[in-house]
Amino acid sequence: MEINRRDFVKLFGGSLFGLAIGGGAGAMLKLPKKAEPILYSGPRIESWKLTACTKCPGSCSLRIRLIDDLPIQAFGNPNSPINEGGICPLGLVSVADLYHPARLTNPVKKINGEFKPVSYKEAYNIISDNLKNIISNKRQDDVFIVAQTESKFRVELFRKFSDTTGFKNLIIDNFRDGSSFPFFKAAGNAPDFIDFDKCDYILNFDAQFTEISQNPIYFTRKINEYRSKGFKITTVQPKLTPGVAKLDEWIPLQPVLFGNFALGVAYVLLKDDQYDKSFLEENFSGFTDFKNHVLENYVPDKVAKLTGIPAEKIIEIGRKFEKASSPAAYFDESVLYNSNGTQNAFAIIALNALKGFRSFGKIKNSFLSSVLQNESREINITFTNLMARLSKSNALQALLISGSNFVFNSPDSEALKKQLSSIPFIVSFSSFVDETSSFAHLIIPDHCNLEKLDLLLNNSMGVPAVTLQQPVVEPFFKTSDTGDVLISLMKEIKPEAKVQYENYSDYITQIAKKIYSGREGIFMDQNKPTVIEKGLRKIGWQTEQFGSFDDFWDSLTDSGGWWDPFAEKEPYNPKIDFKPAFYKESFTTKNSLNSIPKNKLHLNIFKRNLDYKGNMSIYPVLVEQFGSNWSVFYQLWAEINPVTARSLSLRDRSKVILKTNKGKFPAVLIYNPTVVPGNLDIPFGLGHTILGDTCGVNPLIFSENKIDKPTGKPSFSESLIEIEGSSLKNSSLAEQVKLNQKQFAENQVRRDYA
Amino acid sequence: MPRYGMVIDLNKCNQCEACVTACKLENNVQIVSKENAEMGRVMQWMKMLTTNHEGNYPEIRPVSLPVFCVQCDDPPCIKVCPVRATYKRDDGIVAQIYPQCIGCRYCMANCPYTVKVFNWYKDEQPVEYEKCYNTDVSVRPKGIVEKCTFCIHRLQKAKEKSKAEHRKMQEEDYVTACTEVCPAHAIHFGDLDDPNSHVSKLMNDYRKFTLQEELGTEPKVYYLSEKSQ
Repeated sequence: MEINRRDFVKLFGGSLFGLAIGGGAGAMLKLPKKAEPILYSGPRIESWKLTACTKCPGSCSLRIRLIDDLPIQAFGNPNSPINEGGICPLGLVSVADLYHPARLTNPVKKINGEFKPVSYKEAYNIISDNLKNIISNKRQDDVFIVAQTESKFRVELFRKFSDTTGFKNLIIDNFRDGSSFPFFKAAGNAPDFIDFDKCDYILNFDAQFTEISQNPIYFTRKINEYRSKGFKITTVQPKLTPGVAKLDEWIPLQPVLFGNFALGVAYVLLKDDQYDKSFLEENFSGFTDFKNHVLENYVPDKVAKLTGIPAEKIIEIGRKFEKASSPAAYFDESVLYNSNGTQNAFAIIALNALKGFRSFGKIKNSFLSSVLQNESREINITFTNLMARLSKSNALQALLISGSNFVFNSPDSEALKKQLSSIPFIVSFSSFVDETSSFAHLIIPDHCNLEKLDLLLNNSMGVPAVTLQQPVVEPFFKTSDTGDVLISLMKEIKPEAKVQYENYSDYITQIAKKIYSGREGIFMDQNKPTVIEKGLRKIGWQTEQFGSFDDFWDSLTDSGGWWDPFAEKEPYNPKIDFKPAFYKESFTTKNSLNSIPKNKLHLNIFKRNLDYKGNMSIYPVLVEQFGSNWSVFYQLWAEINPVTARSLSLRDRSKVILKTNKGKFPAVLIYNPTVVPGNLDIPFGLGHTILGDTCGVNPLIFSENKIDKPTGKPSFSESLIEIEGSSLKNSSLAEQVKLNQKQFAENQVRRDYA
Repeated sequence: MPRYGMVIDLNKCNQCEACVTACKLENNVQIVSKENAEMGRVMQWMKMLTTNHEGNYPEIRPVSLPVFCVQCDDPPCIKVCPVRATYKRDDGIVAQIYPQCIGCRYCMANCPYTVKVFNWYKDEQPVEYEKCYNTDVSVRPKGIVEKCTFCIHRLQKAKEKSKAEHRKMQEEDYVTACTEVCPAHAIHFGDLDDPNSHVSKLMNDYRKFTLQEELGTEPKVYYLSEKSQ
C-alpha cells in the first residue's frame, strides 16, 4: 500500500504534534513559520526537484531539496554535462531568493513618493494605457527597454516584443551579449565556443575563466583538463585573482593598454611571417593596411615603453602564439570595462585572425537557430544611447527595466538618478526595490527563479545543451513572470501581430516542441555517447528516439535537460572588415604615467568571484564571505603592494581614508604582494544604498565618469586615487611603475639563469 | 569499521569557495552581525586560507587552501575537554555533543589548526532565512563550541537508507556537502582503510601532505599539491 503525504500526516500528526507542544522538536530545530503547522505535525518528507540556475550564463542544472514541498537547499545535478554535480556559491544560495525578507510580494505603484500595493490588473492597465498612449502619439522612439537575463529564449522574447510593439530601443545588459558585442561589430557574428580540446595555447585578456565567465563551472573542469595535457595559459590582467593565480603565467597590465599589447604580439607574428595567409586573404579586408600599421607602430620596444612589459616578454609571448597550432587570444565582457574596451577587443580579434580563429568554433546548422532568429542581429542600442537621450530634457517618455540595476553599475550614478527622476513613466520588473527600481513609478515583481519555467540554451561546450528551469514551488506571492506580461502587452498593443503563444509557458512549450521535432540529442540522464556511437550516428544510425511530445516533456523534467552530443561543429570563419578607423590612432594609447602627480595611485576596481553585476549583497551568506580571505567583514578594503605601502608609510590593516576627484571614502588597507606596485585594488559589489545588506562603499561612484563609448560600460581602472594623510617618501607613481618594470626584468633574468 | 577521511587536490582547486558556502548552508552555521564580525566572531567551519606567497613578483602566487577540522587520529582537542563533549568515534570522525558542551573553549585553545568556532550570540540573520535551514542539522545555541563534523548527519541518513534498501552502504552513499558541490571535483571523501576507495588510492599520490605533520596529530584530511606548501 502506498502512503501519500496526506495519509502520513493523518497517521503520525497527533503524536508528533504532542512532541512539538512539549517543545521537543522546537528546541532542536528552527522551523519556517509558514511551514510550522506541517513540520511540527511531522511528516518531514524529503523530495527533490530539478531546475536551473540563472545567475550567470552557465545554465547549470540544480537539484533542489524540499522538505514537505518547501525548498531548503540547492545542489548541482550530477547528470548535467555542464556542471556534472558541481555548483558555485551563487547557485548554492538560490533558495535564499525565495524567502528574502525584502522581496516584493505584489505589484506596487509609487504614490507621493512611496510604493503602495496595487492589484496586478491595475498595474497591467497602467502599463498598457501608457504604452498605447505613446504609440498613438508616435513616440515609440522615446521609449527604452533595459533587460538583463542570461536566458537566450527570454532575450529572444524581449527582441520580439521590441519588434512587435515598435519600441526599438532595446538594451540587452547581459554577460553573454557583452562578450560577443565586439565580434558582432568586427565580424558580423560571434563564435559559439572556444574549443579547449583543440586549443594548445591561450593568451587570455582579463577573462576570469573560473570566476566570472560564460560558463565558470564547465570552464573550471575544462581548464584543469587542458592544463593536465601540458598546455599553457598566459593571462594579461591588472590583478592576480585566485582563478588566474592557478593559471601558468600572469602579465600585469592596465586594461587600457590591452590593445597595444595585443598588437605588439601581432607584430611578432607579422614580422616572423608566421600567420595564416590563406585565411587572411579570404576573410580579412584591408589586411595589408592593417599589417603596415602594426609593423610601423607596434615594434616591441615601443610597446614595451607604453605598457611597461619588457620587449623580450612580448616577443616570447608572440613566439608562443605563433608556434602553437591552434592558439586563442581570449576575452569576454570584462575587457569592455574601460574607455577603450571595444577598441582593445578589436585588437585581440585581429590577433586571433592572424591564426585563423582556429580555436574558436560554431555549432553547425543547429535547428535551434530557427527559434533564435534574432540572435545574430547586430547590437546597435547600448547604454551610451540611453545616456545620450537622458542628457536631453524630456527626451524619454518611458523606460522599462527588467533585471538590470544599472544605476549601481554607473560611475555617474548621481547624475543618472536626476535624469531618471525626470522620466514620466518608469516600469520595473525587479523582485526587489534596488538602486534602479526605486525610481520606477510601477513595479510588477518577477517570479523568483525557483517559481519560473524556462529553457536555458548553452552553446559554450561546443554542443547545444538546454537546461530546464522548472517551477519547484507554486509562486509564493502575487508576482508575475515578466514573460507573461510581455506577451499580454504584445497581444493587446498589436493584436494584428498575431502572437502565437498564450503565455510564457506556452512559448517555452513551443520551443520544446521544436527540440522534440528535431529528433536529435539525448536527455541529460542518459549515458554520454561513446566514440563508436558517435561514429554510427554520423553514418545515419539512429538509436531509440522520443515517443510522444508528452513523453519527451516528462523525460525532460525528470532528467533536468536535453543536449546534443552528436552536434557537428564547424570552424569560426568570420569575414573581418577592419576599417582604418578601427585601428589607426585609436589603438595607440598615450602613456601619461609620467605626468601623474606624486602621492597618487592607480585605482583598479576588481570584481569578486562570481559577482557579475555587483548584486551579491542580497545574500547574507555571500556578503559575510565577501572579504573573508582578508578577514575583513562588511566593509570595504583596499589591497596594496607592501612595497608601495611602505613607501607611503602605511601599515597593514590600517583604516584609511581614500580620496579621488569625486570625494572621500573609508577602507581597510590590506598588504597583498600580488598587487601591481602603484595600484590600489578595490573590490566592486559593496555599497548598496537600498538593496540587501547596505554595508561598505561602491568604489565605482568615486571613479572617473569614463565609459567605453560603443557599449556604455563603465571604466573600472582609469582613475587616480590618494590615501589621505600619506606621503610618498621617495617615489612617484611613475617610479613605482618603473620599480614594477625593474622587478619584472630582474625576475626574467633570474628565470633565464635558472 | 571504516575510517573516514578526505583528500583535496590543490592543483585542481581554484578557490571558488563553493565548499565554504556549502558548509555554511548545510550545517546551519550562523551569520553574525557587522559589529560581531568586526570583533573577529565570524563563524566558518571551513575557510579558504592564504598561508603564504611563493615566487617573486610578477611570478608570485598565493598559496591558498580550504581549511577545516582535519579530524585528527590523535586529536588534541578531546584531551582537554573537561566534560567529554568532544570525542573520537570508531569511524574516526571527531564528533561534538553540543548539549554537553559547557563553552569553556579549552578545545579551541588546544586545536593547533584553529578551526573550532565559538557561538557568541544567537543567530542574527533575518528570520525569513530560517526557512532555508537544513532540517537535518540542529541549530546550536549560544555559548558552545562547534566545528566540521564531516557532515555526520549525512552518514546517519546514508546508513538508514542502505539499511532500508537491505544492502551494504556504498562509497557514494555518504559524501560531505563540500565534496558534493566542488565544481573542480577537487575534494574526495571516503574510507581511507578501504583499498578500493577513491580516497585511499589518492593517498598514495606523491603530492600528498597534511597540515602540521610534525605535531603528530595524524590528520585525516590530506592535501595534494605539485609544489611544496
